Amino acid sequence: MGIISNPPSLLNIIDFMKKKGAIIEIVLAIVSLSSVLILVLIVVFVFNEALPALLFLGPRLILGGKWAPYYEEYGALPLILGSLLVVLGSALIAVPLGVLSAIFLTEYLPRSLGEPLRSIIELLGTIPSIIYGFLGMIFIAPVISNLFEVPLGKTALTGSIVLSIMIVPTIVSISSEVIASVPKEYKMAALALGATKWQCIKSVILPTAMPGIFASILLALGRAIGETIAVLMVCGCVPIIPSPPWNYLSPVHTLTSAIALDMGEVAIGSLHYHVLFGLGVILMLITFTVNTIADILLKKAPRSVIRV
Amino acid sequence: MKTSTLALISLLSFVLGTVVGLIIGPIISPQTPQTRAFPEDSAWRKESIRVVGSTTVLPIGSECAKAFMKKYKTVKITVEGGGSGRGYKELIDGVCQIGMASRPPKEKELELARKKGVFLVLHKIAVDAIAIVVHPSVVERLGGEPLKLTLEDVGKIFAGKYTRWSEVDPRLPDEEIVVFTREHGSGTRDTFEKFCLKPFGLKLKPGASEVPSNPTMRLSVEKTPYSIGYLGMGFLKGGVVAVHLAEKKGELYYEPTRENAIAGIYPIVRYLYLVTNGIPESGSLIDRFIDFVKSPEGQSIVEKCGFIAMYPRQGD
Repeated sequence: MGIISNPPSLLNIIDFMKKKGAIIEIVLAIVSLSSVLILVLIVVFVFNEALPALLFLGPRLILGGKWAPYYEEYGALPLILGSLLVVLGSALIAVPLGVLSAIFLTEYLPRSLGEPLRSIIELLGTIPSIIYGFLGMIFIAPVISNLFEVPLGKTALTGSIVLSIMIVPTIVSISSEVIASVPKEYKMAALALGATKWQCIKSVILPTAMPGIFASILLALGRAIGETIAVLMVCGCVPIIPSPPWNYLSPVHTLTSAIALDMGEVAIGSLHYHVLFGLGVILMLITFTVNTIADILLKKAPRSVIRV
Repeated sequence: MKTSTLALISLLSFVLGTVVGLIIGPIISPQTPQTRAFPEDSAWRKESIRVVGSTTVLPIGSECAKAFMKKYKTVKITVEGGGSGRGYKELIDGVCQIGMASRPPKEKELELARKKGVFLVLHKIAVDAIAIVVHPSVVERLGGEPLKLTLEDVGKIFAGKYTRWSEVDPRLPDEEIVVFTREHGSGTRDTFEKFCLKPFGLKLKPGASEVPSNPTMRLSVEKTPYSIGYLGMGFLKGGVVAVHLAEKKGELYYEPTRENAIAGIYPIVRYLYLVTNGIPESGSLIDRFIDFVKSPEGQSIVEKCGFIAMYPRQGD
C-alpha cells in the first residue's frame, strides 16, 4: 500500500518544489530588476534636472573656461581638467605602489607574514575619507608648500597623493587575491624550465593575472573619480585652468568638490542648481566611459598566456 | 534548500520593510501631527516641529531646541543644517515649520514663495560680525601693531588688485597673498561681497581658494603663511590674526569685538534669522520656540555660541 501511495505524494513534493522555485525566481527577478530600475531612475532624474542648464548654456557648460557661480559664470572646463589631473596623478602613484606590493605580499613573503600584512593594508581602506582629507590638509599640504616653494600647499599634487593612499588598499587587496589564484602548475612549469623567480612573475604570473589586476585598478579609479570630501579639503578649490594645464603644483577645483561645495546653499530651481546637476551628468559620462573602456580592454586581455 | 531559505528571507525582509515603512512613514513624516484638544492652553505641548537651514545658525538652533525640550519634555523639535538655501526651500515647500537663515531671501526664493502662497516672515535672533583674518606671518614685522585696512583695501586684495603684501603696505612682507573665500550661496560670502567688493565695483579674483565652512576657513588661514580670509565672529580664535577695519580712509580702525559690533562701529555686521510662513499663531509651538530663542535664556545661548545677542540676556 505504502509503495503505491508514495509515488504521487513524492510527485506532489516535486511539483511543490517546482512551484516554489518559480516563486523564488520571480522574487529574485523583482529584486534584481528593482536595482536596474533605480539606476534608470537616477539617470533620468539627474539628466532631467540638468536639462535646463544644458539647453541654456549648451557647449559653453563644458568648454567655458571660467567657473564663478557667484557671478553667474558656469564654465566647467577647469573642473573637468582638475578632476582628470587629480585622478591621473593618483593612478600614477597608486598603481605601481599597489601592484608591486601585491606581488611582494603574495610571491615573496611567506603566507604567515603576507596575510596579516595584507589585512593591515586593507584596514587603510576602511578609514573614512574625511580623515584622509584632514591629515592631507594639516600634514601634507605644508610639506608640499615648503618643498616646492608654492604659496598654497593645497595643490593637484597634494590631492593625488591623498587619493593614492586611499585607493592603494583596493588595488593591493584585489590584485594579491588574483595573483594568489594563478594556478600553481603554471609557476611550477616555469620554474622547472629554469626561469628565475622574477622571470616567472614577469612572464607567467603577471600576464595571467592581468585582467584581474586591471579590474582592481579600474575599481580604484572609480573610487578616486567619485571621491569628494578628501579632495575638497586638499585640492585648494581654485577654479582656474593651471598654466601649463599639467602643472601639478597649481591648486585645482574638481567636479565632485564643486557639487559638494555649492549644493548646500544653492537656491533650488536656479540656473546654478541645474548647472550642478549638469556637472553630475558630466561626472557620470566620465565614469561610464571609463567602465566601457575597461570592459573592452578586459575582453581583449589574454585570459592566460600558457595553453593548458 | 539553502537558496530557497535565503530567498524566503529576502522576500520576508522586503515585505516587512514595506509594511514597516508604510506604518512608520506617516508617523515620522514632517507634516504637522494632529493635536488633541486639552482643557487648558496646552495643545502645543503635544506638537512637534522641524527647524532646518543655515549651518551658521545651526548651533543656536540645536542648543536652544535642547534647552527647550529639557523644559517641556513632551514637545519634539528636530533641528537640521543644510544651508540657508535649504531652509527657505523646505519652508516654502511646507516640509519644515521654521527655517534658519544667515541672509535675507533671494529674488528667486521670494518668487517661489509668492507662487506657492507662502509669506516669509523673518525673525531676527542674533547679530554676527564678520572678521577679516590673516596668518600671523603677515603682521610679523609690524612689531605688535595690528594690521589696519579699509574696506576698499580688503576688496582690492580679494579682487587681485594687490597680489603681494608689500603693495598693500611697504612694511608688510614681500610675499604673494594667498586668498581664501567661501562657496557660492554661503551667507558669510554674501555679507562679505556686500561690504567689501560690491561698493567698489570689484569682483573676487578667480584664483581664490574656496573653503566649505567657517571652521575650515580658520584652519586654512592658520595653516597657510601669508594668507587672508574671512569668518563669522563666533569662530574667531587663536592661530589667526583679526584685521582692524575702517569704513573709509581717514576714519578710525576697529577690532572685531563684541563691544564694537554692538556699538555699530565695526563695519561688517549682519543679522541671523529664524524664518516662518506668516506670523506664527499665538500660543503654538512655533511661536513659543521663537519666543524662547528671543528670551533671556535663549539669548544667553546665542552668546555662548559666539554670536551677539539682540535682546537682554540672563543676568543683564
